[in-house]
This record gives sequence, C-alpha cells and structure tokens, in this order.
Amino acid sequence: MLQPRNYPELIGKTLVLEAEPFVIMTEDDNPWVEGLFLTVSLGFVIGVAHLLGGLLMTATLPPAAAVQEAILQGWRQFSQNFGASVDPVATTNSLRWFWSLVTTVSGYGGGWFRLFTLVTTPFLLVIQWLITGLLIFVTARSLGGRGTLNQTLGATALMVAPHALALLTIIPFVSVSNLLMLTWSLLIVYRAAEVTHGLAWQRAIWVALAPIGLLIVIALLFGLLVSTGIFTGVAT
Amino acid sequence: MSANLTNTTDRQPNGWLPPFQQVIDVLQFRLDAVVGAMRDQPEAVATAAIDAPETTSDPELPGANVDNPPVLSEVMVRSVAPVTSMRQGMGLVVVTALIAGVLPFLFNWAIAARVGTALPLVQLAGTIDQPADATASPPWQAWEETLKSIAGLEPRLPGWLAAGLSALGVWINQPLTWLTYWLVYGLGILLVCKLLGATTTLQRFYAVTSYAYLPLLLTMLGPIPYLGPLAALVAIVWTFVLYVRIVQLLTGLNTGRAVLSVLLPGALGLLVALLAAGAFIISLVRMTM
Repeated sequence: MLQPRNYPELIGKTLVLEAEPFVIMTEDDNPWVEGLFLTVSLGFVIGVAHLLGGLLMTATLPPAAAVQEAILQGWRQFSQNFGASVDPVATTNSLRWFWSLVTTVSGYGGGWFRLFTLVTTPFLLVIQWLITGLLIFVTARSLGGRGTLNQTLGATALMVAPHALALLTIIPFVSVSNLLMLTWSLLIVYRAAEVTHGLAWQRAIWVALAPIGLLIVIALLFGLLVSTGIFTGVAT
Repeated sequence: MSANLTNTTDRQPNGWLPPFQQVIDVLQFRLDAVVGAMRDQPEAVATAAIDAPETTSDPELPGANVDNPPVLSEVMVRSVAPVTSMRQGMGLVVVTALIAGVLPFLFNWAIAARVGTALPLVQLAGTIDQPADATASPPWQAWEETLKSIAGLEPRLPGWLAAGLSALGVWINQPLTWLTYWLVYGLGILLVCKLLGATTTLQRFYAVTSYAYLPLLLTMLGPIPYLGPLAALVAIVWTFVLYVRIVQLLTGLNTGRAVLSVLLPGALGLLVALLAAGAFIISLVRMTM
C-alpha cells in the first residue's frame, strides 16, 4: 500500500508525465483501492482548501448586505435614467432573491452551505475517475491493450493529479483554469493507457480521447433531444 | 511491489530547475546546449531514451522483456540523456512567471491598499481615480457610480491586508496562466508539428519549449509607464522568435513550417472565438427583432 506521505512525490512525477507513478499504481497489490484512496484523500484536502480560501475571500470583500444595497441603489438610478417600464418593486425583489441565492451558494453571504465542498469535491473526483477508468479500459482493450480493469483504474486515478493545483485556491482570488486541468488530465490518461496497456502512442491518443468523445456525443444527443422537444412543443 | 517511490529516471536531469548557464545560453540563442544531441533521433529511439521504464529490460518493471535482453542500441540510447527534463521545464515556467509577477504584485498591492479594498474590486471599478466620463450615457454612468461605491466599501479585514491577500492571489494566478499556455497551447503546436511530420516526443517538447517563456520576464516592467508596454512588446517578439527556433531544432521542420505550427493553433482558436461571438451577436439581433 502506498503511503500518503509519498503522494506529493507521486503527484509531482505524474504531472511531468514520468512513467514511474503509472508503473507503481499498475503494479500495486490492489490498484483500484489505491486509486480510490488517493482520489478521496486529494479531493478532501482540495475541499478543505476551497473552504478556507472561500472564508478568506469573504473576509477580503465588503459585507454581502452592503454590496447588495449598492447594487440596488445603482439599479434604482439606472431605471430612473433609462425610464424603464418595469415594476421597480418586483425587480428589486427579484434582484434581492437572486443576490441571496448567489451569496448562499458561493458562501459569500455566510452560512453552512460552503461546507458541502468537503463532500462534493471528493465525490465528483471519484465519479470522474470511475467513468474515465471504465471508458479507458473498454477502449484500450478494443484497441489491443493488455492491462486489466483493476490496473487501469489504478493508473487512471492519477488523472486527479492536476487537481492538486486547486490547493492554491486557499489564497483568495486564485483560480485554476478548467482547460488546464482538463488538458493535463488528458495527457495523464494518455500516459496511463500507454503504460498500463502497452499501447503505441498513436493508439493511446485515441484511448485518451474516448471519454471526451463520449462527452461530446452525449452533449449532441442531449441538445438534439432538447431541440426536438422544443420544436414538438411549439408544433402542438 | 515497494510502496516507496524509487528513482527509475536517473538518466534524466534531476531537480526542478535547469542549470543557470543553460538559461543564459537560451537567451543568447545558443539552443544546441539545451536541445541536446537527441534532436535528430527518430520518435521510437527518443521515446526509449525518455520513457525507459516502458522499454526497459528490468524484470521488476512492467513492459520488461526478460527473453530479450537489452540490445546495444538501447544501451547507447540510455547513454544519450536529454539535457532538460519536463520537470525542469515546468519548474522554469513557474519560477519565471513568479519572478515576472513580483513587481506587478507590489504595484497592485500599493494601488489596492491606497483604496483600502480588494484588488479585483479596484480593477472592476477601473475609473476609481478618474472623474466619471462626461460623454458616457446616463445609464452607463449609473453603473460606473455603482462600481465605484462597491469598491469604496470597507472590507471585513483591514484594507491593507485585504489588498495584500487579493494582490497575492492575482500574482499566484500568473504561473497558473503561463502553465496553461505552456501545456495547452504547447499541445496544439505539437499536434500541428506532428501533422507536418515532426518526430519529437511529448516530454521532450514540453521540456525544451519551456525556455521560450524566459523573455517574458520583461513583463515584470509592466507597471512602469512607457517602458512597460515597450518591454512587453519586446518580450512577446523575443518569445515568438525563440519558440519558433526551438520548434525548428526540436522537430527538424523548416522555418516556414515552424512558424506555421506556432501560429496555427492561435489562429484556429481566434477563428472559433470569432465564430462563437458572431453566432451570439446574430442570436441577440434575432431575439430583439
């Protein structure tokens, strides 16, 4: 069993696409358990970083109620100048409701809602890992890969490594680009497929692209279903 | 299997930064010193040199082939170590970005501390020190006033601390942004290079292209009036020329193709952005008609 104290080194080597972490995960006694533990641990620590970063950010900003008042004041001025024919009371209430929703969900307005991040972050990482791992296994096997499902899950768990950058969100106003994390995870999955299944780089690219391809297909199908539903609704 | 990480990549340069002399060499366009003797090797050989655990004959590692002991060519490849590793490249990009951000960080902190609030609020207000634009339409003036009044609100923390923490966050975003360019845009360039017949590998490409970010150190002069924009322009041109030269040496492509591979991902990105913006504007116009 890999010791958690080795995780920083493991993550560092994974980020620079060295083969060693993939070999270690593949050759572990129980790769998927190792992967699950790594994913949940990292997810929890990131969740704590989000929580603390959120608290610090709230502290660096003016109180939410004061900002709300300034926005409402601005809206009143705007509607006077603009001569808008909307009901001012209804709009003010809508703005209040929207602001309350935003501040509650983001945690800016206080409350316990922000604690959810301690649960949602590891949970979402685990879901992402399991779906990707399964897809990688099926695609790699169909392209001649030799690795087992257990080994594949172990190696693909390393795709959470770029999320370690999110630990920096403990500092207010730090944000990690989703594009960066997606691309880095993609490169790690590519290396996982290459090492675990002994695939040539050309095939490993197709394997790594499989989850994104599926995502695009699902999005297209969803879009098609929604647009069909809308058109059917309009027609009837 | 041992639970501890062992060093199986000892043929790669260790540490998270390249030697200082290599940095100086690159800035003077002496690129042979960092691209190394491997630039003309075909993909399979280069991969073997970099990804030894996959091709090794060590029976302890997966991918090992006990029946086929290492042949002479493999031993020779192992002796030709890459000059820069990807980890050094990553370290270089991060450290360069951090150094480039020191002066803007101090400048930003001072600006935000003077107003006594978080930096993004100051940036959002924008016109905080300027009189409201007399030519702006009344509705726009109303929002300008609103932003100013939000920026003028007292934060919960002392103003100087809120300013410092937010400026620190903006500073830390700089290496993250540069890493995004290095990794995402670099991948786009590598794909174009591959389509044009290049033979380099992923890790080698990232390792050496990291040097192209060195001239961006000049962007640290950004806050200085007149000199800042000029330094930024020089940095961008220098980076572009260096990147093209590195791509050329790494991939063996001619100058025209190297320039094309560096510009094409950006051009495609711009095209997609323009199409998306056009579609959005057309949708808005249709909605209002």
